[in-house]
Amino acid sequence: MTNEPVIDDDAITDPFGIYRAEWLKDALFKVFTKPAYYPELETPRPCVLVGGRGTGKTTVLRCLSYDGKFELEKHDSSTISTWPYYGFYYRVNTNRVTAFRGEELSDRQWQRVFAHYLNLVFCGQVVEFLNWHAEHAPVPADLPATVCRDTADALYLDPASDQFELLVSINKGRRRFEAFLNNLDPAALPPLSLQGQVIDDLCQAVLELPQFTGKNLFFIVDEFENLLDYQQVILNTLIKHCGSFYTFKVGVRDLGWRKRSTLNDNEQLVSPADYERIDIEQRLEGEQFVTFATEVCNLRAQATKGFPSGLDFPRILPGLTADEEAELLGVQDHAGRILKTVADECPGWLTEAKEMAPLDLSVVDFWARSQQIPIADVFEDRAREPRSWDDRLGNYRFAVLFTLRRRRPGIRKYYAGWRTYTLMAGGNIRYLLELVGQALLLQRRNEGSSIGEPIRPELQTLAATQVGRKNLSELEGLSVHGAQLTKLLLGLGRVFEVLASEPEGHTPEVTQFSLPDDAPLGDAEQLLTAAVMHLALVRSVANKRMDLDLKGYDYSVHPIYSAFFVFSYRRKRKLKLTPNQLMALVREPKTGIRQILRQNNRGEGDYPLPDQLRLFEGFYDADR
Amino acid sequence: MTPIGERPLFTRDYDDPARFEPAPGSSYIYGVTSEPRSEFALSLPRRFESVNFVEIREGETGNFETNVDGHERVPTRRRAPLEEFLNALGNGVVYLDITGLGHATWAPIVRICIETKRPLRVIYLEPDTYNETPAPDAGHIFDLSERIEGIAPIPLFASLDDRVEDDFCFVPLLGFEGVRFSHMLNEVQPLAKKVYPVIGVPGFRPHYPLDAYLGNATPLEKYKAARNLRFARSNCPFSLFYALEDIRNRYPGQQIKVGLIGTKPHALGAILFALAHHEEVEIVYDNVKRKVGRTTGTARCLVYGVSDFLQPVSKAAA
Repeated sequence: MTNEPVIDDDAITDPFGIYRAEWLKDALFKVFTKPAYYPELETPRPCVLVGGRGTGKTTVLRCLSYDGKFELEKHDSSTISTWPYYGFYYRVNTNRVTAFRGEELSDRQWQRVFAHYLNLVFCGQVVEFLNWHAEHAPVPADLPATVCRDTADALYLDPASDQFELLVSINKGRRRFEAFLNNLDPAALPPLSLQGQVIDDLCQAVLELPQFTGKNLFFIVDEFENLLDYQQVILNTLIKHCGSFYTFKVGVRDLGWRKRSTLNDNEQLVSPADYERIDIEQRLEGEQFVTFATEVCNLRAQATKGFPSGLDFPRILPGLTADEEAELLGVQDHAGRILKTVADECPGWLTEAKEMAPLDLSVVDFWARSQQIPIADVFEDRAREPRSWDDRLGNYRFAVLFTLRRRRPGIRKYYAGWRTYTLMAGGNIRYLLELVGQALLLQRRNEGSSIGEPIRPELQTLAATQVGRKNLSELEGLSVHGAQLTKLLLGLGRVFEVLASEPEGHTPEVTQFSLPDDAPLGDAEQLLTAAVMHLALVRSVANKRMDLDLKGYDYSVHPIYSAFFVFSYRRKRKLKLTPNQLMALVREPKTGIRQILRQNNRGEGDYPLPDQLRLFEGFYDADR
Repeated sequence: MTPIGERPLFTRDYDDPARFEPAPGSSYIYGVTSEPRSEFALSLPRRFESVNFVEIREGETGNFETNVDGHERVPTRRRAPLEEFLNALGNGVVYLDITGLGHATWAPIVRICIETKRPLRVIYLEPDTYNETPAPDAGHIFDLSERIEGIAPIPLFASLDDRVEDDFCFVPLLGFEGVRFSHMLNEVQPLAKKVYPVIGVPGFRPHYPLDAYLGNATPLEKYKAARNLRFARSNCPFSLFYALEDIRNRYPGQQIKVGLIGTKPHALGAILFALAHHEEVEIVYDNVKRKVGRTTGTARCLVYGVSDFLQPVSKAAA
């Protein structure tokens, strides 16, 4: 990790300001950090990499491709022959694949047409790679003329006697095919190649070249979710029967792989028999994510002009202990009020009360109010059973922090610390970069202090709030159903915010929900699927049956939104919601929120919105 | 580079739409929606008896319906039925009133007219007023599913030309709805420095360009695309065409992906550009659903001499 080159690219003069692999371009490879699961992707087995937006799928898949690997090897041609595999990256483009539908052709005809298109695409990629190899490798690959001729024949292309001519023919063939799509006639289908056959033959011929003996070929298909259902089935068939000449590495969002069957309805793709499923968020949990995140942030900082090397992120982003945070939230005022009550009601406990940490004293007071008992009883209980009281402190100290400044303007809860940021990112590296980048930006703007100095908790909190707000506003444009996702998130966020700020007499830290097994999902199914795909919600296994079964999971609002709504970023306790209640949050938010709160024993009280939610006052106040 | 003001524009502009007169023996194709301006065509048959008026009703994607005998249902993803439909109108000038038609209907007709070398004039009527401010307020949740059907090719404009990010520019023709712009950016995934947004300046109303800028401010800022902003008169397809040519000249050999989110005249300019440079242009469209009762009244009538414009341009391109 030392002596990395300085990247002279204005795209990353602000290394935490650009997150998308697509934007970083070549710089992407210079700031690439191998995640722990990377070696599994390099095996000759089909792999399906599952992860939401921002989890690093595209980065990883691009680095598996031959051009990515060449960049990682810093353009050292002598290494090309030593690579154990060569990957061909292909992103599924919505504007391409939606051209392959319409009532003009039957379902069967569309299948054949699309299969031929895939043959053209994948063969084109192989030949493009061979031409690249011919240009870059010390001993260039040369596809035999017979193979070029046979491939052109199989794809019904203009004849080709070498790999360069073959690429020209493939491109011409693609244009002819495009002309067919722009003049759809079921009675005049162009000649169509047999699904997968030509890919098999071409890859076999490539592997017989001396340069590729014993090597593996990967077709890397990113954004698999963009494929139409029948197109996923065709790809599944290729994956299931890909044989020994090549394999597939697929990148897909959680729940974006909607069809698991092959063209044979009775045949399903199952893991691990047919493919290795790599769930990024599961693989990068806890300490693994912290380690990975530290490496990514360090490398980005190191590779950029003006950034000191060896940044110590836990030092730059200091956290707060619960007592420190309580202090900032004005716990002393609460303690003063409580001491006055103790002096009035049970002066015998006053000395002990004065010796307690103010936050612990607030928990005592909280417990008395929760149980609706005199505060003296709580002191007695505490003296009688110190161990169980310690447990209670452990359970409620964090929850009480949410009550200290509730219903008041300004910061109601702090979100600070490297560890907190990694939890809020929820295993999503882009979110973490956004948090760190925003905190650094605010520090630069507000204080003029230099990079590397600790960032105040207020600024860290503000940064976390702004990142939540930004991602909420971006949800609208992420999918056609973005508005419903935004409304769902605003509704659930508000519910969890009120639950967190009014915990008296209730289970603390309710941050998840589950669905009843016996209620049909109805319209909520599409909503939940989209919410998981676009990271409005995260799901965790409750009693898992199948990964497409939505009911076997617990759901929580993604922790990146916790600072914006002001609830806990920790996955703790859960409540039950029905599919109808979820839909009500979208359709009639005011009624829906009130109904869920009432069900959870929060009355009709006035719960003022946190400052940052005021923008959505209109949404919360009115039902359509 | 020649300033746009010095390049030929093929527009006739009628402040009073009643002064527009279609040529005798011509055909006038139109569609009627809930917007009063789309009813302009209904006032014409009384006055111009020698003109063949053809009403189009938009049905399911990939078809439209007409009142021409034998061509009641015309598929738009096949050339032959479209050609036959146009042949049935005779040889005169075709006036295509796009005011009340969706892109997926009028664009294939434009393509066939140009390819079969028919004289084509495109008509567009500006509204008198908008019922509401077209720019969504901050905090307003913009429901794309009520507004768009999703990204899919316009019939006869599908492209299979896959290019890596380095090899294309993305030119979104901006409207007021930044969410549509964001959605397209998410789908197209261009390099930030190669996004060249176009705003209609001057706009139909003096404040519209600013509204468009504000409506799109978030994605413009995110992609730092404001530095690449281009401007083209919002009711002029030819100004847009020239703006696209300038971008193309700046990046010779690159693919230009044009996102249709803005005005209809701009969409027409993009379609003409795609016809002139079809191997280098991809049209990106999110298939907007028409909103009921958006405008009132009719202001100006614009007549674009599309075939007169495009034939010399196509020759030059060839």
